[in-house]
Amino acid sequence: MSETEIDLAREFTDRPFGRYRKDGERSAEIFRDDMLKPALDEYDRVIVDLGGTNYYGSSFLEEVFGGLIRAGFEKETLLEKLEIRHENLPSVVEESLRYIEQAAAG
Amino acid sequence: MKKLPGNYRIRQQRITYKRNSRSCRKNKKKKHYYTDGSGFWNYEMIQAPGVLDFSYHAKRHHEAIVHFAEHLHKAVADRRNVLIDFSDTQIITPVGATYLYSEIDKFGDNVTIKFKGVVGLIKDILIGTGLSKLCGYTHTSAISQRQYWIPVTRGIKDEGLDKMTEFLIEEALLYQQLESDNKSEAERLVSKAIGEGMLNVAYHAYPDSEEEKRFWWVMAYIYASKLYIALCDRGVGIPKTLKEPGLFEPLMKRLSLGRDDGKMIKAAMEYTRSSRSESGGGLGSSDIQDLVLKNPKGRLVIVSGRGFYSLQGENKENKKEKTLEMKNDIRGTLIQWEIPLAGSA
Repeated sequence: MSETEIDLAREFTDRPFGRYRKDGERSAEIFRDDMLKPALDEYDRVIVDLGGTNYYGSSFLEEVFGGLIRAGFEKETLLEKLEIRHENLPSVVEESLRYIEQAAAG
Repeated sequence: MKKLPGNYRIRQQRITYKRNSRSCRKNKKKKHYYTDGSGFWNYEMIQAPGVLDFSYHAKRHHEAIVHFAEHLHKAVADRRNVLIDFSDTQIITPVGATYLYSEIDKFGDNVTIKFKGVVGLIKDILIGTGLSKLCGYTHTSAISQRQYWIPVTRGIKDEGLDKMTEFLIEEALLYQQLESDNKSEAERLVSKAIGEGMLNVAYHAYPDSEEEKRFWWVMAYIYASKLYIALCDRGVGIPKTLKEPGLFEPLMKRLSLGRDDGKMIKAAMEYTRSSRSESGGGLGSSDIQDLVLKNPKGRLVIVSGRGFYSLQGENKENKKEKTLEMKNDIRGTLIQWEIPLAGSA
């Protein structure tokens, strides 16, 4: 089984901000489409480590994780393949998972 | 030598001002022009309101504040130099000063703005918020030596958000006040409240402006054991955003709100990401509320368009909300978070 880990703060930005690509290069859409989706397509298991920064607005998290459902991923597939971590903030992990559930529920 | 009372100078200034005003009216001169011989010839004098504060308790003063801002706006739009007279001002809060700052900063580029009657706490607030500096003064006072504030800063998107968050967490020790020993949680709470407010400005406040001109003004201030954070923009206002056809139509129909601006702000606060619209994104309302809902004595006030909204409470289920409809439009949005700090200066 192939596995990869994405450290958002180290590999993307420690100041995530905005939903859409037009909001700048630290936006959720860029992270989702250019880093997370390719990883989900390529690997059986993807660990997203959100630790290293606490600057997560709800818009960013919703667009990344809820946006995966809108991009065509099945909820079951995501919950199976995706592991979300944050060493200090369990609330960020819970919120991210909730956005997947909410987007799937429509 | 006879000792003069402490407020002698102020009283003399008021007497001089009243005498000159009477004289101007009598001579049918333009009463707005300042003519007491202090050198401010050809300045249009605008009287600042008695109370420059947007709290619920100051609701009866809102009309005067907006009228003052409109007067100022008209003067600077006509490129007339302005002398703002604070002689009759009893209360000015940092948040009220932030609103004034944004008005002058956005519209007052090509005019000179001076102050009159600036004493005591008013002076401290004008210095602390950076309003004095904006108008070319180099005043200092005791309060300016203390690092209990971040002056009003203009920016776009999330410029300076980390500096502001760091100040609130480290200087204001806000994480203690939020009943959390988890500094990371407090950092997230603060950054997402202000950050989502900034994002709203980028998305909704200036639908017809270029991205680099979608300005907000932000300020943090600790005064009388309270932390005030203000985020202001001079855009179309939340009620007008909600009235835009298409974007929030389903929400408006569901809530049947009519045209009361105060209730529209309340509706915007109920709007969550779960009801996200493809065309605009949510308003990040729960992020904005969370900062005060974590503190039972905290208060959130939003003034936008002609609407006023305030929120206080311990959680989302047990919260007190008030709305008002004002007579005049403030031409923008002002969000203020007010959080009591035990043991602050």
